[in-house]
Amino acid sequence: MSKHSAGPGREESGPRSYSDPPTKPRRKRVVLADSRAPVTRLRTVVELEEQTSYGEELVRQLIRAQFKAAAVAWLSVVLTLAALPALFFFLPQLTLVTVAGVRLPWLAMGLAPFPLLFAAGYWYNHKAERQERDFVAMVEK
Amino acid sequence: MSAQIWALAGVLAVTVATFVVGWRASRLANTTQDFLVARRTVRSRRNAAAVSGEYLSAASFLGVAGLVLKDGADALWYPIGFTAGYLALMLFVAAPLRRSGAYTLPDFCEARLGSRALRGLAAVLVVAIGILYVVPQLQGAGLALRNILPWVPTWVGSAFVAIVVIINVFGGGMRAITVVQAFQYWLKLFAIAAPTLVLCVLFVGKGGVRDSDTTALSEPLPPTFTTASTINVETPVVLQAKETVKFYARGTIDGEDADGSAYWTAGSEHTVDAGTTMHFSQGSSVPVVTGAPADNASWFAPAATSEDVFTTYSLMLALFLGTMGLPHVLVRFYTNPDGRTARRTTLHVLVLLSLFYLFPIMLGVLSRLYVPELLVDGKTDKAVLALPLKVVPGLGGEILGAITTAGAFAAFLSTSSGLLVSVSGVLSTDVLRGRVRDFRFATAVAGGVPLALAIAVRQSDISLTVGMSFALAASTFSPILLLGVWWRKLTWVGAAAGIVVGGGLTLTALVISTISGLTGGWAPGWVSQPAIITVPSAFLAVFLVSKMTPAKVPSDVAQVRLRMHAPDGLGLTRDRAVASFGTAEERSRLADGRHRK
Amino acid sequence: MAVSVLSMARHIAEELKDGLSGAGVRSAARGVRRLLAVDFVGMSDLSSRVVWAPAEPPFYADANALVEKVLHSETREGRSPLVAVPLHVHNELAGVLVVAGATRRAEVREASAWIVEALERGRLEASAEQAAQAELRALRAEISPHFVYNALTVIAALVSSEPDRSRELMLDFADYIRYSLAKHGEYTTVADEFHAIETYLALQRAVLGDRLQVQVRVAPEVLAVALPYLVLQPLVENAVRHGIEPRAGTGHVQVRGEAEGNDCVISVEDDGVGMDPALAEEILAGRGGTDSVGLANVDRRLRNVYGPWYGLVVETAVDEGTRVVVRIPRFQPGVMP
Repeated sequence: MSKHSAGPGREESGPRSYSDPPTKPRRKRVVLADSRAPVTRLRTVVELEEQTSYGEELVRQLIRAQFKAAAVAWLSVVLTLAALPALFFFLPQLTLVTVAGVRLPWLAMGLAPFPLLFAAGYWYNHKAERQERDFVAMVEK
Repeated sequence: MSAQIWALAGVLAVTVATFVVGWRASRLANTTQDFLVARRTVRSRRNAAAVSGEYLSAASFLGVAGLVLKDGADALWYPIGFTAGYLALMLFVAAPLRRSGAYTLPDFCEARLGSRALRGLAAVLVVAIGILYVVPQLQGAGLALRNILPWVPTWVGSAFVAIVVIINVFGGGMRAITVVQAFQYWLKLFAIAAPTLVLCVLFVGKGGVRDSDTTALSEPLPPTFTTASTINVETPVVLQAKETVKFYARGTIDGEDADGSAYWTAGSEHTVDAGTTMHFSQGSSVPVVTGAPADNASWFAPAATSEDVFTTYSLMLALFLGTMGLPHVLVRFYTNPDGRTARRTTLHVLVLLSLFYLFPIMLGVLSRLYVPELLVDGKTDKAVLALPLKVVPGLGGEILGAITTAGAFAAFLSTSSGLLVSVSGVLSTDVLRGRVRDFRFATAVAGGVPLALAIAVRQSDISLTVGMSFALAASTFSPILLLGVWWRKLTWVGAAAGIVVGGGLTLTALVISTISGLTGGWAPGWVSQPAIITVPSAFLAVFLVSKMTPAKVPSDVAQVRLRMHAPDGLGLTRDRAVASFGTAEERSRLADGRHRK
Repeated sequence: MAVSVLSMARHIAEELKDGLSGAGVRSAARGVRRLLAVDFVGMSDLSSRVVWAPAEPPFYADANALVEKVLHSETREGRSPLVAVPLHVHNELAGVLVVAGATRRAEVREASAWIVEALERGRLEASAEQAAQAELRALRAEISPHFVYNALTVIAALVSSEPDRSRELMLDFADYIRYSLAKHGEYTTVADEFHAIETYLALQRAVLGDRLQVQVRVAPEVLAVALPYLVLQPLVENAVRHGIEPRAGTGHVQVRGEAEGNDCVISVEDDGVGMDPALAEEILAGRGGTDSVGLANVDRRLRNVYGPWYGLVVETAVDEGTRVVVRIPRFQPGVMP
């Protein structure tokens, strides 16, 4: 099993795209029989900066800050949305309220969530990018 | 007759366009040229369009409108959920995942937790989720084709889409996948937006809801037929009549032969067998399939029973957390050059999705007024396809109908292609490992199995089945992704436990609800959307088992976390010798060929 | 019974990969203790600081003295129940093994032999890695002086007649040198490698003029894929140097990168003079002489990083041009730019 296919053979490929009219090239495929050269996989070591405890602490702070921002964005969205079914269940008179000709449930569930989701996403993106910029500025001094 | 021709023409146009766009973008140019300096990166917006294009499946294009027609306000959670899932992805997963370098979900499992056994298990789940997601696409295709050509059996449509997709992937058409999927998004957006806007304008022009032919949406009365309608019931269905209704029937009702006029009293329920034809005159009220709100007022209002509320929360959980676990979603992130772009792309996706979902919702509401007959046999997924002709009889309606049908097929093709590529990739890498990696064999398997299932298994609402695959994704992969990115102490044993528990529970629920569907529907509603049980169980399992196996925390966890969270372009993970050849700023300014073009 | 012994032995070998000064010594010592079923086992490197399992014994002063003695005499010292033997790795002293408890000579001898083998293997792996690094550095330094001379000459010639183009080429040249020589990590992205070959090809086009036509295409989906440094550049240089330069008339070089499933496939094709397939095989096997070290090196590095299925595939015949295909998985654990 020393030769394996890397795709369609040259013999079968379609017309070449040069302006010269192609003669069907008759090339031969060559793959190294893998018995000779060493095949043992070397341990690939990912090179990383020496992590001093200060560096580790900085990174941990960044992670915590980003998680907090994400959690804030997420919870504000989810709690708002999750409140809706309960709200309409316990206060059914709200389902009759009309805003600008459209019933409140449809507005709250069909229209309003989308800007809310985008706003949360936009806020988080802004915050996260700023946190990262600050971090880079601090570390690259 | 001409409506059918228009619709078929639309379908063929979309199919051909898909092939053309894909093959043109992946072939070389014909003339010998100098450098075609490939655009260094895919612009965030193009990538976002590609992600959205692949994501908007039949569930979004047809299913949302169909469910709005059937369930009313409760169905609105589907578009919200589909979109909120992307927000969750963006907040918690997008950037760290991109920085980890992983391409697929099994890749992430291996990168983060270092276990090949877990990788294999993850691969199996990816294939399961993928198949579960493709089956409703193919079934939807069968339904759509049948809508155009009623004398064609449903398997023809499914087979058509499956074969087209397989050929496209075989032929290399998906190599330029970003371009193809971006094109599909704009196509679908046009196909849903243009008809909707036209229909809305005409609707308002006709006088809106004050049109005396229809029941107002907020009245506690059942919808009424706007024209005389004949319905052929193909699968047995149980109907409830909110008001008395008189109609003509030929077939079997309540176990007895019916031939002639039938009379149903208010509040009664009847079983109608397959092969029955029912004819209603204009203005008679519509009997609605049981389980759905029977009159417009309850349809219009959101969930009013505690069981419904429970199911709604379950659905929310499944959709919010399931997106990140879908096989064709994560791989699209790889095209971004770094974590920051990945985040931005997701933000753009939010915009594109929100823009899209506006329209099926409106179509669903209009359907309640104009095509209530779909409520009788329960096949409401046809709403988007059948609506244009009802609102605009004549050539205009035919063309609009053709546009929506074309858009629906674009949805089938794009999502199925994306899923096929992802699933066959995982199959050929992880399952057929050790042999010659035969991508084509994997593609054939990944396409053939869902086709067989689509034909064999009874069709239910597209969005419900898709919701189940979201539940499966949420129960298996979202704990691993969320905890893997943010929690230090995750172990591969815990992750595997999560997959087994979450996946096992969800699949059990799937089996139970299938059986229940075939034997009379005795299972409670939440069994068909079990997320509220399975997802917390999965999280708990992952957490507890990881805590119990602290020795199995991967030894390089600190480095992996650093790589995932460190801001891009920081010298922490790359060459430290930048100083010898200029500052980082200079290097990035000069080193990307900008001096040439 | 045999299974647990074998697995314990494997564990010991695993822990000793980093040598007697590494982090796994205590764990290895614990393993040895369990295998020999004694009370205390200690291992030390040349610094004579002993790492004990399970903990420092009450008689550690005596044991330390024994260790010092062994380090000086390089022979076995002491008698049961306290024995210390030297550990000779590749025929030089690397450390000492101390065993406290009732044991037979043969047991201690076997244990120390096993430890020595584990240490030797660890060293071999480390030096293999070092050799690979050295070779990579040598490859980097292999910029053809002929090419440099031609490039600079051409740039100089264009300074007055086409100053803008000349400036572009100069920046290309700077990029090319920077990429080839700068000290980097082990991996880079497809985007960066493609940029490097584009600068090279721009320079070659300036030198060769109309004799070289070039087409470079890369799909955006694979721009971010990580791959080892200097995988593409040698291939492209080969294509131009051996394929196009020797030939009369116009030659075409085509470089393509695209995604195929979970893999990234990059191909370098030229319609130059080609070569005898048998010769190509010799070159890939490393027997091609100093001229064509590039191809064999790339092939070997690819297979080292990605596994035996991912070597180079060369398609060629005399006068039919050459096509070299590189296939790499988009994700490989440990490969990060």
